[in-house]
Amino acid sequence: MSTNYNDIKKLCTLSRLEIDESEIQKTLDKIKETILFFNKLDELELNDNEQEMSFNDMKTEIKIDDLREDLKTSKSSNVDGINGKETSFNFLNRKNGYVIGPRI
Amino acid sequence: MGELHKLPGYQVSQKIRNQEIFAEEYISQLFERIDKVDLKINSFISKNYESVLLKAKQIDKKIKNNEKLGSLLGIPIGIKDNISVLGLKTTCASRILQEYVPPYNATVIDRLEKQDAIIIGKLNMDEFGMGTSSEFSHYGPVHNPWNQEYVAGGSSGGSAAAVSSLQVPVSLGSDTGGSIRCPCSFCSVIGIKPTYGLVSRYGLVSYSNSLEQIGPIARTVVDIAMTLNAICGRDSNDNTSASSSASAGIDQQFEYKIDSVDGILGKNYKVGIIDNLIDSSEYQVKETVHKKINLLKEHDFSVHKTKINYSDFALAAYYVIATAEASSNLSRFDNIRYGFNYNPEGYEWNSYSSHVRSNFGEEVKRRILVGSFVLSAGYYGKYYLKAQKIRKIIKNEFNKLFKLFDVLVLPTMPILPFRIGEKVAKPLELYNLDIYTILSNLAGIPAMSIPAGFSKEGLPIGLQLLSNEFNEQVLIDIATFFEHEDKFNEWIPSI
Repeated sequence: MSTNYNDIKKLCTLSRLEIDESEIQKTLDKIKETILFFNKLDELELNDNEQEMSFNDMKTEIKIDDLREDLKTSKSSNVDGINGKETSFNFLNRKNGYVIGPRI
Repeated sequence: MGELHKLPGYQVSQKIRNQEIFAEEYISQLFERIDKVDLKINSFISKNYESVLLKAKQIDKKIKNNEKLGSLLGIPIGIKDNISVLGLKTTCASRILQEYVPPYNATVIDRLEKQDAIIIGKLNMDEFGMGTSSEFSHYGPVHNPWNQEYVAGGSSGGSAAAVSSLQVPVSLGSDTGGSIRCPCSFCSVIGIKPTYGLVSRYGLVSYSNSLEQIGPIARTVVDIAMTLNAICGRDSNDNTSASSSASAGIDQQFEYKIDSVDGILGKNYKVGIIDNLIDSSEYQVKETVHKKINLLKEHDFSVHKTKINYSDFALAAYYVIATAEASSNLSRFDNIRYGFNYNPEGYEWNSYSSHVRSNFGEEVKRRILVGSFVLSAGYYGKYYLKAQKIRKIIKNEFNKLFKLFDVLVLPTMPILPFRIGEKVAKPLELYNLDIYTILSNLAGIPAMSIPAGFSKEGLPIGLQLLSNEFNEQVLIDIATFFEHEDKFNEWIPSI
């Protein structure tokens, strides 16, 4: 596959990244080089057993039911919008106890 | 200036415990050393002097009052800047986090402090751990203490360089694909990447969560073992952390000991030499590694040649997995919860995120974009799924090797340290340098780098040791043997 200018712009949108127009070509060249390197994976012929991707090796030591309940602690209480209390999280932009964010 | 900065951590602790020195006196001398040396090395991003001095005074008071004392009493420990320390800036060497102050401690920090260690400051690194040279830092490159025109290795370059240049006796780094071992090799110090799950990652700013582990860096094997003992073990805040009983089939508690050389020789360890990888390294690296192998043979270790297949495929698989996980992990940096002060008013959500995220460095942006690419529709099977299959093949290959051997030996890095700026514009060349270190991250097994010698130009060379999962004790034993034979703990740069 050949990656082009439009692909990089699309990846930037997907990744929520801005790259200067002047930097796009340089970024494109380096990403192309990396993807070409990844294409090495195509050279490996996997036999039938290896082609079966199995997650049987993964162990779950604790059952979901055995996990602890979520706890509200001073570390996780954030900013209380109703009471306007400040807690330990340092949100950058706040007003009257609420976090200011961009429009959705 | 006194000479106390030359002491390894365990001796500092003994002297403070025995009241031969005061913690406050020692710390004051260390501050002088850091202020003098770090101008040349650039290993610290932030220092914690005020609270360090307070903590040192508290330790002196504890001794005076005959209170219970921790195993790391008075040992100053530098922390890689991607590990959260309550109230201390944690920037990940990134512009985007330059003002971020964590509201909690990583589990490893709580555990170090419980043992009366002193958190002295935060150390420079490649941004978010993405690099092999510690040049990709918003705070400038880390300089190698053995020759300041050369890189210190990465991504935990500040952690290794600070220990090597006698600014701290011990530090913590993190290792995703060699980030502890590479700088340890380049700076001639010891570093261990523990088994995946041995050390809690709670509070470590994630780059690639299925590969990375926190581990200690020091100049002596005793310091490595003591620090590892303090930080390892199950943590309810990290469900990937293992309890002692979980290391199925291995009847071992997480407590590492320093054995005598006779005791180590008596264990009859079987050593596998990864011949195909040694052969592909630079000739001075190859010669040095062969000298170490001969030393093992002279002491009647059972030494046999072996090989690891698929290492070229492993490197590609590693970078597919690492970038895929990075693209997901770094999506949290939206500048609302963490970041720098930039008013969101007047912005729409996506444009605000994109705009503030342009503060990531070039290498980080590239890895996020590549990660998004390999996970995108149509390419998932071609790259990510195949990479996971190769990961399983590598793991199976190690399982077979560890039925034959207790420890595997290979170089840490295929080349010598290089000049600052030499490779910074060639990302693929840098990726290729990780070929010996990524194997243990893919397989989740422990790996250690120890000083092996120097090139004719005086640049350090490291030896890498691998063992089976949860068998860190084997690595500590072999490292103890080499430390006894080579006295590498006395190799100090003249800075």
